[in-house]
Amino acid sequence: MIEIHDLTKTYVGGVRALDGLDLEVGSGMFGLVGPNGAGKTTLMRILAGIIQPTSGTVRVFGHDLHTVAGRMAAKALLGYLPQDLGLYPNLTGREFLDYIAILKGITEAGERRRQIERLLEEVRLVDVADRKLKTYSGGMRRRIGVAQALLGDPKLLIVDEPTVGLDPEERVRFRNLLSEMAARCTIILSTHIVEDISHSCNDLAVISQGRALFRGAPADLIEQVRGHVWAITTAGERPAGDLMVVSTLQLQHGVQYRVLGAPASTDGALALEPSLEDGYIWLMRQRRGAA
Amino acid sequence: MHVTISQLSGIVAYEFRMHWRRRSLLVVTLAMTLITVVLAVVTAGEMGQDSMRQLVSQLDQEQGAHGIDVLTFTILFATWAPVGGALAFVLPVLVADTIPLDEQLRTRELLDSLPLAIGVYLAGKVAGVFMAAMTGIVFAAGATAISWWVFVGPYDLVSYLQMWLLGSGALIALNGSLAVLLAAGQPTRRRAALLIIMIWGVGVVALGSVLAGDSNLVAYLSPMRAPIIMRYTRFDAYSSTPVPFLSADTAQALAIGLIEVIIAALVVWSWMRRRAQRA
Repeated sequence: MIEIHDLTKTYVGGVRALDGLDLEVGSGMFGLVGPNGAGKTTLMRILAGIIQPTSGTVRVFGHDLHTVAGRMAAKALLGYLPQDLGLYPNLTGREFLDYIAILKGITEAGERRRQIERLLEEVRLVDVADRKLKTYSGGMRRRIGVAQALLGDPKLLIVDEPTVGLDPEERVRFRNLLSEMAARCTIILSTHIVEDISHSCNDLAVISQGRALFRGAPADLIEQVRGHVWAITTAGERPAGDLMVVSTLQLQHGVQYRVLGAPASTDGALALEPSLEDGYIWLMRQRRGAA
Repeated sequence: MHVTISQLSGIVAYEFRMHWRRRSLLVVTLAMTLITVVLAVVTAGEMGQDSMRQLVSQLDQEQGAHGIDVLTFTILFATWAPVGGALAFVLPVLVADTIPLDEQLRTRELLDSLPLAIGVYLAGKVAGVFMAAMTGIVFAAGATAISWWVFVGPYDLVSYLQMWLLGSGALIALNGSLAVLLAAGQPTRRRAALLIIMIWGVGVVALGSVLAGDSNLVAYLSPMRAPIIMRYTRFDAYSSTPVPFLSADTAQALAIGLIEVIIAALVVWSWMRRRAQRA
């Protein structure tokens, strides 16, 4: 269980990344979604014990991250995949995993080997495990990143924007891997790609400007926009009304718009089943409207 | 404790690998070895092995000096000049990037998320550099010892190996460690190297003032490690004593150097700890 209470982080220069955030995360896969600059990465880095909050409390499985001992204890339970993972180019994939396993405190060489082989299988890097990391493609680098995060069977896995830079096939594979992992540990998945959340998370929070705008199941977020999602086909002009265009599809004889809001006329407008992305955009739009 | 030792040895082992795979250490080791071998060949070619032996026995008989010691001193002097120079000037610049590389490669963030104490990280990095450099020294010492023996003839092998292992070991332990620690805050390899070049440059200026007789203290504080560097250039050929590494001035230089390394380690440790808390 992760408990976050009144969490604030202000960087040098006065930029407030988190502004009194309250959140509780249980088991399974938890999605954290928000626009760029919402404070997601800051929250991830605080949870990973990399940076300190300005104020507020964070407890990871009962360990208070305010204390050095608490941070070290929490780190021992943690697997972390940063947004921009750096690797040692002159080490092989297997060596890199061994190095991280040692630093994670897996002292027994046989146990390290066993875990590394299992994870290499899971992320499908067995064939290239003895190649130097500088020869890895973007997808391979991401997968070795996932493997290192899973070393030591962490109780909490924090993954920050994990699918950025992956091709569609890799992305699906990665999501499936995380879903399998969710049965074994708590996963916090931070992303601005809503699709990643909709396919794997049973619980999510939307944060913006350092605050939680929504907290609940993906279905609840989708429910908020039900009745506001339309498909409108025109000769080319934008549909009239207080609408937000979500997507545009060029047809042979016109343009089909997927819009959120209330169209000026529902003639020719087709009500659509909302997606999580619709729910997210609707929420953000309302937030902007309120502001 | 068990985990700490495992982490420490892990950092040392992988730092060792990474340093050797970056090739710069390999190039310096091969250069030191090659220069020494060439010196042995040139010396033998200039004088001829027979005339060398004749000279040694002549010195023994006629002047009361131990010819073998004179020959040993000649070999030590010829070898130590390039080796001591490389270890004093070049090695610190090469190893300065040890910690900044984690920043440049963006592995820092991952390392910060691991249950790894700052002290263990620093000690591992410093010890890794020492082990990597000393391995090169052992190789170079062995290869060049054989070359001198083959091309020039028998000499005092113990003094020769002592020079390599103790003289070089001291320079690596002090200057290598100091360079790793002093450059710890730099964000890139380039800036780390530039900082060390600058600090060592000041060290040379300081040494210059020492040689001019201004201050003895600076000689000990300077990263030039003058008392150690000069160790094998001062020898009374007729005193018939072998060249010991430890003397009053080298011991003093070692002690002061060690204090410098400890102070640097404490400063860097506190700075990293403070940075982690303030991040």
